[in-house]
Amino acid sequence: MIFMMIRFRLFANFREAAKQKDVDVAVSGGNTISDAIKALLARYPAMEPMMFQDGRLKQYVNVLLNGQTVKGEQIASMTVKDGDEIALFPPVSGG
Amino acid sequence: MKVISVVGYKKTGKTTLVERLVSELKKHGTVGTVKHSRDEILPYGGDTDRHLDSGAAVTIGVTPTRSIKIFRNTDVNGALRELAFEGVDFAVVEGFKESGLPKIAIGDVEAQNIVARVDISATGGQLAAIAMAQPEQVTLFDLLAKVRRNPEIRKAGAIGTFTGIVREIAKGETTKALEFESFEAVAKERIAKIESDLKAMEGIVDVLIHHKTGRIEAGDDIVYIVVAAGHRQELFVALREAIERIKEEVPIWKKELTVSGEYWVHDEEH
Repeated sequence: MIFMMIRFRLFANFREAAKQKDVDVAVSGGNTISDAIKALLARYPAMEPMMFQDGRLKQYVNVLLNGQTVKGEQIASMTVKDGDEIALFPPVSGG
Repeated sequence: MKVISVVGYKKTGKTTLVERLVSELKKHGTVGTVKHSRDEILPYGGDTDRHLDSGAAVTIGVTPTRSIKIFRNTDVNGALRELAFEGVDFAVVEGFKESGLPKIAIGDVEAQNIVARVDISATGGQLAAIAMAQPEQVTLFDLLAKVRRNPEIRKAGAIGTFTGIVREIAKGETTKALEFESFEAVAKERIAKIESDLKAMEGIVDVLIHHKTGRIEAGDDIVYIVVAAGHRQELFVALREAIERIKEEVPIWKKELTVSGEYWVHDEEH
C-alpha cells in the first residue's frame, strides 16, 4: 500500500480557505498528483468548490510540482513521491 | 535599502540599542538613522528658522563642526524617502511605534510588525543580524542608479521606466490599499527569466524589474521596470512586454481593500 507525505503550498484564497499556507497531507489512495489533491480536499472540504467541477480540477487552478508547472492530462497521470511539494494557486494578478 | 526600527517604552534603552546596532551595521554598508523627537531641533524664531519660515523649501544650517538640514516633514515615511535618496544601505529608525515598519521591540511593548523581541543585553551582532534579514526596500532611483553602473550602458541611447501604482479611484469605488501575496521562490525565478529573455532581444542593453509585496497604500508604487536600449523603438517594445509578462506569469496575487469591502482581484475577473 502506498503511503507518503506531500507538502502542499497554498496561496491567496486557497490559503485563506485552508487557513494555512503550508499543509502536509498523508496520501494513501493512489500516487498521482490528482490523488494527492483529492487527499488534500478530503481534509479541507471548503476548498473543493473553488478547485473542482464535475470531478475534475478547474481550468484556472495552477499546479506546480516541485516548482515546475504541470498542466492538463499530466495532473491525472504524473506520479508523486514521498516528500514532494505541490503548489496550488489561482490565476496570478500582480503588476 | 533595508529598514528596521527600534521601539520600546520610555527609558528602556532604545538609543543605546540603536548605537550598538549602527556601529555594527556600518561594517556592512552605509547607515542612515531617523529619530522620533518631541523636542524642537532648532529654536523657533532663531535666524536659521527665519530662513525656513520665509518660504525656503529646505534650509541647511552650517556650524563649525556639522550641518543640519531642515524641511517641512513630520512623518517617518518622508524621512525614509530622504535616506533612500541619500543612497544608504540601511535605515535605522528609533521610535514611531505606530508605523508599519519592521520592528525590534524592547521588552513587552506592543506594536504591529514586530520581527524580534530583545532586552537591553542584546549585542550589536544580534541586532545587525535582524536588520540584515529584512527585505530590501527598492526605489526606482536605486534601479536607475544600478542600470547606469552597468558597463554596457555605453551602448544605450535611452532608458525607459514603468511604474505601476495603486489606483485609488475606479468605477465609483475607492481603494484604500492593495495587499500583495507572492510565491517568493517561483516569483523570483520567473522575474529573472523575463529579465534575461528581454535582455536577449535586439538592441536591449539591460532590464531590471522589482515588484513589491505586502500592503501598499493608494497612490504608492507597486512595480518598477527599467529598460536601457540602443534606440527608443526597441525600448518601448521591451518595456511593454515586461509588464504584460509580469501580469501573466509571475505568481503574485492582489487583494483589493476598498472602502466597501475586500476581494481578491482574480476572483472578480474569473
